[in-house]
Amino acid sequence: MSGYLFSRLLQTLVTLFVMSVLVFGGLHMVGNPVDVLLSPTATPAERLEVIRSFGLDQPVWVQYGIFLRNALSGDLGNSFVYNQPALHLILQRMPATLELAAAALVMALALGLPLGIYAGLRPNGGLAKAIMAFSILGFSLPTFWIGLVMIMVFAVQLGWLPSSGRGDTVDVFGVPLSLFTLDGLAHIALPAFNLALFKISLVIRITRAGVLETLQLDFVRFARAKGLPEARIVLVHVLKNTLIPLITVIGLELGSLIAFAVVTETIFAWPGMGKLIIDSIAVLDRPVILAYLMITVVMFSVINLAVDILYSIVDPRVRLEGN
Amino acid sequence: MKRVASAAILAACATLAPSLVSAQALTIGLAASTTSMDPQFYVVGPNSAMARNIFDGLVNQDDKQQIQPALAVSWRVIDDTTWEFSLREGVTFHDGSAFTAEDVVASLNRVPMASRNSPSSFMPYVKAITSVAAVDPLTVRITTAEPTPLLPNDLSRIAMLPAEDAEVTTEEMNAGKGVIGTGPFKFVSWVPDSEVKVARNDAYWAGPAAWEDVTFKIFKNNSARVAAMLSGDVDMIESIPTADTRRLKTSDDLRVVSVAGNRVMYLHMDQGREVSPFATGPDGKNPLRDERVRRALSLSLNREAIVDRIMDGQGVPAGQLVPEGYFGYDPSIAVDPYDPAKAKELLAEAGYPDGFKLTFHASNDRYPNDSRVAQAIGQFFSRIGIDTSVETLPASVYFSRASNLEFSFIMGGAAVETGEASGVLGPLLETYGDSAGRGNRGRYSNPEFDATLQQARQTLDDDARRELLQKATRIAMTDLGVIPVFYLANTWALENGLSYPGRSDGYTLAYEVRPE
Repeated sequence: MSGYLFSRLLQTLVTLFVMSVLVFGGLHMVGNPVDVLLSPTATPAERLEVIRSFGLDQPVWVQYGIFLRNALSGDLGNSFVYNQPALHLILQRMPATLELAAAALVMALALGLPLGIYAGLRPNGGLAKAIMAFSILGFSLPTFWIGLVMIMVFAVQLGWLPSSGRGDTVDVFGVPLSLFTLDGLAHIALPAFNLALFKISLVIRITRAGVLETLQLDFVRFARAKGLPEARIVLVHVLKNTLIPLITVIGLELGSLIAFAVVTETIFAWPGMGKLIIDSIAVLDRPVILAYLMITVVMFSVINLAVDILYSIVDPRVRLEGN
Repeated sequence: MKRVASAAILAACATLAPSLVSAQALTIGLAASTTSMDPQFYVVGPNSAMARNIFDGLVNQDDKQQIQPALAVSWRVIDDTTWEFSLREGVTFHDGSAFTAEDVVASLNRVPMASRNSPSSFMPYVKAITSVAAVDPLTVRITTAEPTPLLPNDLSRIAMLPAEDAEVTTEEMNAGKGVIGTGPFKFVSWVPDSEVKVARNDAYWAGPAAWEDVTFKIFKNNSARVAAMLSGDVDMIESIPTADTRRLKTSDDLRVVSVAGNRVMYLHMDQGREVSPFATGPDGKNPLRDERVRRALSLSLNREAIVDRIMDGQGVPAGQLVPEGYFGYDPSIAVDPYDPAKAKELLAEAGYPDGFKLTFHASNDRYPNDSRVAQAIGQFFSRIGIDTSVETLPASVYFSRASNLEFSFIMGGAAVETGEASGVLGPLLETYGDSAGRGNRGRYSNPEFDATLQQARQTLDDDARRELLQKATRIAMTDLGVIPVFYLANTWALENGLSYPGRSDGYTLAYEVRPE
């Protein structure tokens, strides 16, 4: 196990390195942040001063070297427009995004699993067909539009829920979370459901397919022949086998929930990391973009690792080996 | 898709119940977020607008950007390079300390420190100043290197802080420490990209604001901002998307405020190079160097139609670079009429009866509807026989390439930050050089224009300076160094029962919001 973890750590480091080279080079080619940020009336002296203070006067490889050296000591650079450490900016907004993603994931599983199992058990029933139709809608309607319609219906017309923003927060171990206040829950409901909609559909379809497939397998027939209660067959034996593809997909989707909740965060003015990255790209705030993508890489690596470990728990045939 | 959704939201507006506005708390939806609480760190609209709620300058800009007394009640020019400002008596900072001449000295001296690591610092506004001295507690004497008639305009940009806070860094202010001014509101809290809270300063020198607590919430997405307004989450929003303005105007529960803005949308043409990459006549040369061609392009534009159809009425056709009411506006300059026949004649006269090839570059995420405006302009050019193609790019790519002169014909938007004409004439039209014409991406150059503008800059007498600025404008608009298209409008939506005069600089200042 430790050998396995070690090799995974090594892989992550290599990925991080490759990623940083690509992003650094890419950002360098896109444009010069000074042209976007500096007022057009600035004199060359003022321009040079800004370029120098951002370290943009150095050749690219020197800039990269400096970045690498600082990164190894945990400093990913200062944001150009906030004049604050990029890492700090991202971590400051992280709790909001994580809690939104977590809420969306819980919704996806809580709704998707039962509906998917039902649709798998009674594939020809009217309700199952309705569930499948819903999942197609969930897949195909754009998040952007659904979000706006939800705001229109629940916030503007019915007035049940607030249209945007994050509600009151309470500090849990120093991290401000809104999941534990009524106002916070009211605020998170719409954006979380908006974000979860696609995932609910995904979970429904994967679960249904898994249940349908597993039901045909010999061990289910044996279990039935043995006289096990139907509930136990479905909830233990069938479900366990269905979970393996589900974990893979959900693992990957969780990463994208966190890293790219941009659309939902924008529509609902949710103060998370997604909005930060969009703004940073617009003004070419290189340190923030770079730091954000590095954190994304780390996050995906951690999630993938967690997925692999979960596999070994759900399916005893899977063994984690280092090579 | 966006349009469908916002249309749906607006339809819902009919059923919106009128809600009462509490006279104590006000919530405002802003379109852009403040990146720092240090008012002297970064020259960018959202930061300056937020700072005006908390801080004052020696002088302030009013809703038409004209200079008004603020912390200084009067000023006089002692000689060409010495100014004396008399300060307002009895003004206190939010921490209770008295505002005196020492605070002015300290605030002006803090600018270089706050400009460290700034992407666009306040240094240009203080670079003319060679020394600041406190004559007595209520008198400040400022010496400049050269005659600087725009000193009050420059000073209107510099926030006054208590002298004790002269050493407070931008980082500390971002953390909420030392955000202390003399303005109508006291700083309470800031969650970056989310909200800013302020509370009334009961001792404000111009009288207390109508609101005890004000919350500014950030909604960068247009539809989200409109939805927040319609659902009653906010009492007021700024910059209504143009597509929604007309319908919001017809709502009984809201009112819309629209005023002419200080940003002119203009076309910049390569006039510096014989051969230009994206403008080629049949002879391979750059046709844009010919004044007649530039006039033809201007005459081919139906500015009324662009404002009316593309901008949904949210703009005013422009024939020069500053709107009416601004210092240096010349009423004798008319907006070019829509005259495609005349335009074709001029083209033929210039030797291009069959037009020429032109690629027009514009940004697509910087100004309201910029890519649609560019498409429309391209079509007007095609109508007079110019083989035009339009390419739009994200601002982050576009501006770098435009500054590197990679394009031949571009569209830009210039705001008159100083409130008078030299603030746009200089950057856009003065001959490109180390200290002038830094935004002159067309490399227009006319020595007579340069001389007139330079003379205006050193003329302290207001009337004489106004005339010089008007003359410089006439020269540039005769040559068409740039083609002005229209001024953007600034818009706000408010709940019934509130009023806002609107500002040409687009700032949303809670102090000026009044209950009726």
